Amino acid sequence: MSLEIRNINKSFGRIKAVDNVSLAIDNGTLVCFLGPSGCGKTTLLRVISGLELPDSGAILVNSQNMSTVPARNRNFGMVFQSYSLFPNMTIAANVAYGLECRKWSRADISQRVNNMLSLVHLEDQSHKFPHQLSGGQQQRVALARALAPKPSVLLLDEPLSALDAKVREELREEIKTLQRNLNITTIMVTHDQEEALTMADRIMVMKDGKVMQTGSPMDIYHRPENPFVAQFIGRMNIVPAGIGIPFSSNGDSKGARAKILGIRPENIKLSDDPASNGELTGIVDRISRLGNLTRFKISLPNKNGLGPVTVVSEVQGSSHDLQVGTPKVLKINPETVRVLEWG
Amino acid sequence: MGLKNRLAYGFTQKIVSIDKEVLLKILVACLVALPLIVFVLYPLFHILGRSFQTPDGIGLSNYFSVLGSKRFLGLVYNSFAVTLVTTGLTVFLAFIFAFSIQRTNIPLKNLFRLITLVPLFAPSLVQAQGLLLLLGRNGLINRTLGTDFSIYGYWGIVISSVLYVFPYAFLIFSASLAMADNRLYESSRILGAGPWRTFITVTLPSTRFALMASTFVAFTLVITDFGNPMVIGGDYSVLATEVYNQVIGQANFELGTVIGMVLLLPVALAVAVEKYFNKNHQDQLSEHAKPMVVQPHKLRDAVFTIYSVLICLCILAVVGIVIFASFTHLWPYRMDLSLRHYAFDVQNGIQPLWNSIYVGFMAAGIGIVAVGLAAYITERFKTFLDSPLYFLCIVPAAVPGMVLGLGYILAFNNPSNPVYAIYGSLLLIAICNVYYYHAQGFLIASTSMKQISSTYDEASATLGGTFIRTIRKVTLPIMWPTLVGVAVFFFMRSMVTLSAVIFLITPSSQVAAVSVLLLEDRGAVNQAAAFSVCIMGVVVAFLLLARLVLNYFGYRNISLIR
Ligand SMILES: Nc1ncnc2c1ncn2[C@@H]1O[C@H](COP(=O)(O)OP(=O)(O)OP(=O)(O)O)[C@@H](O)[C@H]1O
Ligand SMILES: [Mg+2]
Repeated sequence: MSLEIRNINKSFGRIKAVDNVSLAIDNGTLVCFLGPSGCGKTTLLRVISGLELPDSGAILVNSQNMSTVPARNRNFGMVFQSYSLFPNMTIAANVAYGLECRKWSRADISQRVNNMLSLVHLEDQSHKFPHQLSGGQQQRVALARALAPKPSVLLLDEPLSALDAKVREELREEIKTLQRNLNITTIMVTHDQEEALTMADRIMVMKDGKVMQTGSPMDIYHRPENPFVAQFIGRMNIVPAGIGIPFSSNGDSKGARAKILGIRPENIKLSDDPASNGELTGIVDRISRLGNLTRFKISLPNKNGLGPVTVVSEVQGSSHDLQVGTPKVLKINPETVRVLEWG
Repeated sequence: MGLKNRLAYGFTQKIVSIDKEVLLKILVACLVALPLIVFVLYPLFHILGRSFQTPDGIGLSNYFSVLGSKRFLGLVYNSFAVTLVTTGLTVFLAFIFAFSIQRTNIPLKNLFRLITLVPLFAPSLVQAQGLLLLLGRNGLINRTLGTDFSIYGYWGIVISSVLYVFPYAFLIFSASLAMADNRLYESSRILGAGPWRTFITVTLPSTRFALMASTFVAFTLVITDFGNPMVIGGDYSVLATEVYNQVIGQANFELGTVIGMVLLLPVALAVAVEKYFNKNHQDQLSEHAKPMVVQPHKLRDAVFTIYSVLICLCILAVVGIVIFASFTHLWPYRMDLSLRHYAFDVQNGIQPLWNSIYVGFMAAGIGIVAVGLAAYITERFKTFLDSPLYFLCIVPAAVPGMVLGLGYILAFNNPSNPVYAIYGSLLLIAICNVYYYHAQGFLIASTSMKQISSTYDEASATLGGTFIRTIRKVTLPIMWPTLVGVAVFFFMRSMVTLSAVIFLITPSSQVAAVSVLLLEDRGAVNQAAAFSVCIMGVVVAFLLLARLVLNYFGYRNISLIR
């Protein structure tokens, strides 16, 4: 099923939790909503699920307007951060719940429950109660429960954030495989960029209720469109264009001049060769050795009245016998420099 | 999103929900609000109306004649003299007792705690009853020592009232002192503060809300209590007994209602202040708080053990003497043991006890539904009716029982009112108890509803569960232990309460607590004592049963005594 949201707005009192968000999701795609705490990811997901009513906007599934359909009739599966398995029911009963609501026959229910539980590798746990399972197992049951009624869309609100690192990675794989095999349109909320980059087909980065950028993980990482996305995903040097770093104009300049540039630290190489035309020379300010990675803080000379600018360079390996205070020439491939803001 | 895109999308639609379930929710909310209006607000309006009714039309003359009279000023003085002194004494004594239970290493804590709570199982005049048996003119002390002093009057009321509100104040302090941030105490010790200084700078400030709450609770309980002053007051009248005397003694409803209104005022004020501060305080205990570790201290523990033993002896003496008296042949003349008072060869026989039990069960049943639904609605429905309904639910906390009972006479003893059909029946008494104790029952239910995550409801909704199905399959099965607690609460209070029901009983619908009062009034102390013991027995049996059921299903942490 394809899912489309149009111009969704939602405020709580004076807080604008979701600010005019639109997004179209193709069938079978996994989209991540990524952003810092409080940026409105959960609120947007709840609006999509029908648990929260938007102030305005529309939600369409296969071009059919769902905006006024209550949550229970939307046929969306939802997994919550806190598992929220019904504590009074066995694992099997939890998975069967949505099917009972849909008045499936007893035989069909029991078969479907077995299938779903074996899908998440918990077939031998069906008679236990939720509190007898580990966090990771509970979240897998929650997944099976959400998927059992064959939902048209799967919604996951930080499904992995309550789990410890190892389980999280396992489950990450599992969710992704499941999602691919079932080819189910999925939205996952997360504030973990690694999770988003490894799992998503598309990422929507949000800030203060607004969409900052939507694109594939590659796009988001390599071609950020503004300083916020650049800094939120990985590390990026944000420098004024006037400082004189070479760049090859990306995107459409619309005749405007580049104002702010972004360069990943790994794309700044340091060299002792004499500076050729257009190359900058800076002074090594600080050196941090992080195992097999060395990070240099370089200050660039004042230019065009922009004040002193520091950039960070990261170099693989740890045996760089560099001294603080040495001048170095920055080797930068113009193709790796992004224009983040036009002025 | 640019303007072009927005035009392309074509619309920014305003959502108007037309979900049938929203209508159902509003309907349910109204259904819960309706009885609150009928059984709380409507009687109150009747009282208000009646207080302005004079032989020559509507007017203030009732107020003038009451408020201007010397007798009335004396009553107000008496009421406040009793209430303020009692409140001060109780808060002081209960705080120290709670401190010794929660913050020292005295032995037998559980026993001490249990003894303190015993009076909650007895009719609310058992304190005066016991005190008379001990210190009355025919009491144990006068009889054995050959002295002739009398406890009737001011000090009798004060002492019995202290004993009456002690458990309530203790429960509040105990809950507050049980929660403590050990880090504060550790840093205080590290800074070199002695125990006294730590107490002043850490303990007292962190319990100031409990101090306030228990002060207001004690104040309202004492100023509205009428059982104890009735039994032990002698010629010393207070406002609460005066309402009774005017209405039952002289059938003077007008004066009764005026005094009722006067009584309503300070109570409503106290409750309003208490709720206001309670709402603004929230939990000051941070999430990182570490539980309290009591430091060893021999002398402190010895002193507090003696204190606790003394308090418990007082409480046990008062309750114990009632139990003992019920088994004597004829107190105080023939002290040999006998079971003859349990034959209940008094008017109505044992019927009032059965009536009480019926009323208790009905109140428990009605209470569960009324309070459970109200809590569910205000916590989960998210409709515009939430706050008005919440307010309506806690209004009864501000209404003295006598005022509510009097309101019922005025409102429902009238053939043109549909409720008249059950007037004089046990059912109306049960309803009266439910709505008299509605605020507390409601808070018990809504507090535990708050602790149960609302994502269960939401999970059910996203899985396709209707509202009814969610309640039946998810909410109720999770909530039932709390509802058992609510049932126990309403049953217990119905068994022991006097003040609201006193105006509603008829000879055929008399309840046991009222029997105690009437028998005591007639001087039939042995039978009165026997009735008290039976009430205690029933309450304790019910409590044990509920405890067993809850423990059997693994819910040990649901507290039943409030
Ligand atoms: N029910 C509510 N009432 C009032 N404000 C709310 C409510 N729910 C969310 N908000 C506010 O809306 C904003 C967005 O909240 P939301 O929970 O959607 O953020 P989030 O991106 O999911 O954050 P997190 O990563 O912390 O979960 C926040 O400022 C939050 O305080
Ligand atoms: Mg969130």
